[in-house]
Amino acid sequence: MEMSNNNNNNNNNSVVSIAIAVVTARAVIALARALILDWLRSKTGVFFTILFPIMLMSILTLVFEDDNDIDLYIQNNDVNNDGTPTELSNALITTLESSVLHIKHISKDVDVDEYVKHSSKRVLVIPDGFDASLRAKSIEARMMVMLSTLDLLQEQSPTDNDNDNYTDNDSYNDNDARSGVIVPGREGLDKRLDALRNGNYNYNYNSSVPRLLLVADSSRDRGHEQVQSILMSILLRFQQSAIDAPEILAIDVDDVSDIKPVSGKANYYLPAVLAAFIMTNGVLGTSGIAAEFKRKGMLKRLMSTPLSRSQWIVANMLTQTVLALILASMMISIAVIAFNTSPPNAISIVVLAIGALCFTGLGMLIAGALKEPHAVTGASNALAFPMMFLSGVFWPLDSMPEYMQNIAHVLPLTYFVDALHASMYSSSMLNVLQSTSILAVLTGAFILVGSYLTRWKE
Amino acid sequence: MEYAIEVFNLVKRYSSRNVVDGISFSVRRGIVFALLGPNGAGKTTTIEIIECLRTLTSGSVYVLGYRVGDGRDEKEIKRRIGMMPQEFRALDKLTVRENIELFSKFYDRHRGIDEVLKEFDIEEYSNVRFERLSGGLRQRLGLAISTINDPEILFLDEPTTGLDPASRKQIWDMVKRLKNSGKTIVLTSHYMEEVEHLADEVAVMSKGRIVAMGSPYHIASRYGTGRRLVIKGYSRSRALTELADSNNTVGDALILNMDEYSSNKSSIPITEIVDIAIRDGLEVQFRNPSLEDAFLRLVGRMDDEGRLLDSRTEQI
Repeated sequence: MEMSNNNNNNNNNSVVSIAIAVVTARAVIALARALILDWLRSKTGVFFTILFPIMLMSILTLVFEDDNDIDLYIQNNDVNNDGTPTELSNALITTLESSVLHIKHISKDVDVDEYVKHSSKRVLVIPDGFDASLRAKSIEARMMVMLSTLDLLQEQSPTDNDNDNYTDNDSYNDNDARSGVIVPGREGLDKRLDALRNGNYNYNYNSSVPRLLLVADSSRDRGHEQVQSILMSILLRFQQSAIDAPEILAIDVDDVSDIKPVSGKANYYLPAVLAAFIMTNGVLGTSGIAAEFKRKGMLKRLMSTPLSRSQWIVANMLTQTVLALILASMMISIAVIAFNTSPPNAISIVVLAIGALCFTGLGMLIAGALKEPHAVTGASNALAFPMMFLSGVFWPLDSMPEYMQNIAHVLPLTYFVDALHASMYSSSMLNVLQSTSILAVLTGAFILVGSYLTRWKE
Repeated sequence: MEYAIEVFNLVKRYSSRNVVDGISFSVRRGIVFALLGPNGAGKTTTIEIIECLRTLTSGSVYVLGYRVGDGRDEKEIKRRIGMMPQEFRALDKLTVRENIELFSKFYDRHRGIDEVLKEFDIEEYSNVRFERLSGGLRQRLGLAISTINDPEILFLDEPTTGLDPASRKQIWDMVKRLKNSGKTIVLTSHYMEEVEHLADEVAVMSKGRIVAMGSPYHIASRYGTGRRLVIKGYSRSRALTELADSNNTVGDALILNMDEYSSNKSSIPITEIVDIAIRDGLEVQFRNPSLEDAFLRLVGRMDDEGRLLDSRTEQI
């Protein structure tokens, strides 16, 4: 009998729990739906939430199609024992500095691949031994010229039969060849050529071509192709003027990007603008709703119903996530159709959702920390707009002063831009995970603090 | 249970100031209870504590037997009460129906949307967005939403402030209907006429304390100025001018407190004064004690901007 009562109690508890869960979910969905509808029916809301970001992305893509970003960083590994550049590496740098390229230098201790991956700068690496190998190759080239000349002379010289004055006894030896003694006749030419070909001039004809290395990240570096072609033409001039020999210098390109080959500036601006507007919508939208609800007394009206604080918070997060996904789907569709970008994968959708939650949490935090509705709006603007300009949205971080770069690395938008960029175009999960995990930690912190500060009773 | 609300020694302190200073009162079920007081008297704080919107510093409050301050009890209270704030606002871009539907989702049990629309006579506006509603319609929607959960207690905070007389009358009728359906209504208002018209019981608050409580008639009779005789243009009558002094005149009106005047045996009888006034062609009025008089006597005189000048001053 007692056991039967216990079973009945357990069943009743389960039914009550399910009923509470249903009401909870129903209230959250209804509030989120209402907030979304209210937002989407506002012409200004739709314009600034969805249309303006799309317009901005399109404008940036079109305006900066012909940008002139021609910075080139140089890492010179070819130095003398006293640390000064070798003669030819210095000559090459001087030539580059006198060109249209903006030359900057980085230390030889820097890991160039990592440097380029994190900064999106492009770096020309002058390898150790560049001077020596360039000289060797130069001599080789000159010797090849001589060989060609001798071959020509050989073809044009008379046969042995024509050479009556020359006998086997008057042998022509290697020393004669090296000393430059001119022995007339076909045999003399043959021996001279053999001496050259046999390497008796102590020269290695198979010396390798000195190779420079241009390291760039094609997915983020909008001007790398332009710089590469400028570099090729400068190097051609350099080798002709400095060495006076053709085709002895080569340049390799190392694209450190593990990102799928893409074309168009929209690949750069799409994740950046998307992240920026998800940030502003999250921070300004959430804090704006909270401020408006406070100012109009609607928050008190909601507080007087069974709706709980956590339901209010979750409904706001759901609202901003849905708005972020609407914005993302429209922007990505336009970028794919109009600017030929690659469509995003499932991971980027997850990153988008985490970003939306992160900035909704930040908006909640601001709204909870400040009591006055006007202060909430002001503080949100004061935070959102500098963040947009300091997080590499409109220009690369490396173009900013170092102290600003340090600030950027504590801003969540920097990690959101990186995570979104990597998730949309990177094939390396490590890249995605690095930024996404930092973003996720910040998201958790903002939501926790924001929830704690959100008052449901005064 | 006889009482819908019971408040014992309620204190709410901000910094070192008691905004609500140890008040106690009870509200019987099924009545309209009005809380009156000037700005800053503590009535909104009191109401919001009862609505579980503010914490209390000390004392205890019970709503329908549930204790305010207890998390689980507060959920029950919120399921069973409705509230309409002053100048009700809802989501601007949502229609009347959508706003009612939204609030209905917060309750496990609620009334039908159409039923509520019909009861408050807003069916024809059901598809109109909130932003396009007039002030009167907004308040009617607010009232409709406050009853969506079929509450046992309804809190109305200055429900007719800023409305035209016709809209005010409509709201009054609706409040009366709600009272007649058995709901307990707690009302705050700046309109004495409204309180006299609707309230069964009144508590007057001043400086965080309750200074009077009872029926409107009781308060008006006990704390009001009594019956008064008002004669306008008295200076045109020589006999009446002899009665006038600075204590019983305002402008060209002679105002006599009839109870006090009649107790003075040496003066001219009231009936004779009325005869003189009528004979000299002056306007004569008899005024009964009003709640407004009592209110002003209790909480003080206010200037044109509503600021308290002094307390318990005799008003003419």
